[in-house]
Amino acid sequence: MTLPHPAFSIHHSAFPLGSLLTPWTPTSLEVYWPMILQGILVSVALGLIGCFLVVRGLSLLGDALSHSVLPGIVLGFLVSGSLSSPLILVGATIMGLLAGVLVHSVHHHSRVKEDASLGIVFTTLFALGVVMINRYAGQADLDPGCVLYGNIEHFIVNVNARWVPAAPGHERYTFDPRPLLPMALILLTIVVLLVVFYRQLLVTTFDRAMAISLGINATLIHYGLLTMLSLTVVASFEAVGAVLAVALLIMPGATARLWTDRMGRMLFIAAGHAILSTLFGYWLAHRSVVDTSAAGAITVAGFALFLLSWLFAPRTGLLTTARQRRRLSAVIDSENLVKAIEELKDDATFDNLAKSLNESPKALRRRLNDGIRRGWFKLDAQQRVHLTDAGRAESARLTRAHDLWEQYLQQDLGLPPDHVHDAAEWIEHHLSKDKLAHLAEHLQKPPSP
Amino acid sequence: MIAARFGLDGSAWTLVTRFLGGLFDGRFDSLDCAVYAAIFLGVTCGALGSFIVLRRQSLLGDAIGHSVLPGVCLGFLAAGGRSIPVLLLGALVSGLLSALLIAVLQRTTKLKTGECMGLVFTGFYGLGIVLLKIVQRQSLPGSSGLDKLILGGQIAAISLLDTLLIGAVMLAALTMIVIFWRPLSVSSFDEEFAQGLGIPVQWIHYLLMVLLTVAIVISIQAVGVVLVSAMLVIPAATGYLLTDRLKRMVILSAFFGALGGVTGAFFSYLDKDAPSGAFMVLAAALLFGLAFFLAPRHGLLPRLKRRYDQRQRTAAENLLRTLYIMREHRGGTADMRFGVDDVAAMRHETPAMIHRLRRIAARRAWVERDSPDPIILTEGGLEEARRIVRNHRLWELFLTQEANLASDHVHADAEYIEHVLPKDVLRKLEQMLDRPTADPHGRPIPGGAA
Repeated sequence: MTLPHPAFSIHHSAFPLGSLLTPWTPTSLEVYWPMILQGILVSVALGLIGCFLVVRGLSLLGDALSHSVLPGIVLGFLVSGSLSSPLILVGATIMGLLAGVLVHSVHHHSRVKEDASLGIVFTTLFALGVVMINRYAGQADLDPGCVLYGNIEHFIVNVNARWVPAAPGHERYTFDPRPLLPMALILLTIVVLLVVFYRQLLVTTFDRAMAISLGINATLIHYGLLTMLSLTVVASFEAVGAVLAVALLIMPGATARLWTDRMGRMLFIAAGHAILSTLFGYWLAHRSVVDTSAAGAITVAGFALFLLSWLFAPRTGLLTTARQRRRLSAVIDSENLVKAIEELKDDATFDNLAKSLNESPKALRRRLNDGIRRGWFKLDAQQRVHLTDAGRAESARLTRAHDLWEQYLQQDLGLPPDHVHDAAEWIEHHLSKDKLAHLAEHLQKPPSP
Repeated sequence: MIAARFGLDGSAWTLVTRFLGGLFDGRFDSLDCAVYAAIFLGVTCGALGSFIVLRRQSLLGDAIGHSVLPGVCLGFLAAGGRSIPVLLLGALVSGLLSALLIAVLQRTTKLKTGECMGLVFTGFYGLGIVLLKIVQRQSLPGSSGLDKLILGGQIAAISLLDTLLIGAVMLAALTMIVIFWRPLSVSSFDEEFAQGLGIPVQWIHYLLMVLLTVAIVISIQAVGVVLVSAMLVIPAATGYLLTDRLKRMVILSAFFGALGGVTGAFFSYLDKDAPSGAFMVLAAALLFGLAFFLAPRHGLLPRLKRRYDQRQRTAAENLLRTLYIMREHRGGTADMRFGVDDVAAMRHETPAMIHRLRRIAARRAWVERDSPDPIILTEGGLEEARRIVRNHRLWELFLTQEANLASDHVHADAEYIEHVLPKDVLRKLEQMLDRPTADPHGRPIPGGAA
């Protein structure tokens, strides 16, 4: 299925490869929108189902399933003789469910563990499909490449048959939306089922025992999910191929998981991720300098979005947490400095401080500047450090937190007095105002010093 | 039939003999290369696969297998053509990179292992597809064969140099396994125990990862990236079903890997374009299927048969116990004849059921074979009946005396255990209970040889 096709010739002549990045234009959108729409339908559908796989810890089952449907597809194709026949959908869905049952029975009826059983079943079925393609590809127009990486560009080829000049000299594409219909229907079904069975899905996912006690049939929900999964994977197979279908299953859900802990939000974020990676992927594949497989590029875009989230997501992002940790340790360092100055009183020279905190001059200088900026201390003419009022208040707060915690540990936990200092030394930096008030009340102390 | 499929003359048998003739004709040609390469990679994958199957990381092979693709394509672009060493180097780098990324993601996110693997390998694979299209657009020499590298492999295209390389990798992998046998095996079974012994578990894990990646890289030419994990998992799982000893498992897995490999080479010999990897996987899967059903200890059918035998034995033993009790009621006379209707009444069962039980007992020569009614207990049968009753009553006594259960609560439990109580446990019970003579209901415990 190579594409000797006007869309691409327009692309190449209007924007030769030399021009690095070409933005979307009305013309290009006109050419590409069926592809983009199909891509969005596929990736959102897979992404929504994928969310449930991710939180249920089933993502590799999706992997196994999407490989296993291959013989079903080939069989349906051989029987019907066409790639758009519903028989393919039927054959592949049956094969997908069969794979689920096989995986279960292999590890249930032998000592082979579940992971190995997955690995055995899906590779075997996939190999069967490959051999069938190899044997019968000559008799029928079945493209092995489609298995590998799908062919979403196919959607332009399909609609291209209806490419007509709207007016002389002004050529327009008119599209027949019918090829998009199956995927749109599947997405609609998924959304409707999600809305209707949202509560059941949620409960069975997070607390199976509770679901059963509520009278929800967890097994039915599980197999319903698997059926929808097979259907969606098969319907998207032509567009994205086996392995990339897995990518679109896992990536949106896993990315959303990094952004939120709430299922509802997770679904929306996953859909957003799916749409974004589709748009970015198309742009990468057809509008930028690399002219390549759209399905592959969508995956790369999705992976890039995941990696960005991994680094920058609020609360869980790698860099976000690193920055929080650094900020917290800076605060702790400054607070320790305040205490050291308080202890040294008038001897709080630079050298003495360095000695007492066991700190390099450079680091100490930075900390001092930090504290001066916070308005906690000031330098006098002899380069001695003095606490300001704010600094003294800060010091009092820390001492109070330290004392309260020591008392708490001794009174409530019965720890000996020589065991409480280190813990208090650490926690004094982390006790909020509320916690302090609460602690004071608990220990029957006055609410403020 | 096979011949017709492949458009060749002759029956399957002549094909096999021709294949073997070509193999042992004294000339070292492409066929010999393919077969040796298949054996080498089968052995490597099978032996290494044993460890990942034991560690329940079977899908790691799948993940690394898919992840080598961008490296292969980059190697292709860098070399400007199909230069196997460069391709392998690229594959090695991207395979190791993916393994590392998976490990980092596992440590730094709340995602489960499955997701981390799925994310990384599909991401790498997508990148590989993007690069693949670019390679194909450049129409470099040999780029048409790249598809094969992915989907099913093509062992017929393997050269002498590749074969030697694969052989060297096999030797290296086997050497490593022998050198690190103890840490590898201990940490595969029980990671915490291994840590307690002072084995650097983390480094062993990395070592295994590197070996795995190398094994995958040398196999992709013959098996293809999508299916390469199968050569790691399927032979190893087959070995796992056949033995309980790791050493034997590794050897068996290597053997099954080689067998699957040669089968793939055979089909590749029949048809140069056949996806040899797919055939290897199917052959290995067939062997696994056989082991799954027939393996002596862990196979499905032997296990079902054992369960059936046990049920039959239990049924017959229950009949014997009834007969023994009936004999007791009569005062232990020498009369060994029991009317079927009486037995049925005693057991609250239909006479037909009693007939069935009698036939099962007759097969074991516990009752006279040719006397359907009355049932006649034989000497051996009486001995056996005594043993069962003894087990039953000893256990009841044990439960009431040592476990402090009420005497009306112990029958059901004893009913079950009487069939499975081993001799040495019985002996211990006797000692514990001071060689008792009566059970908690006051009935005598028959004396036994033990």
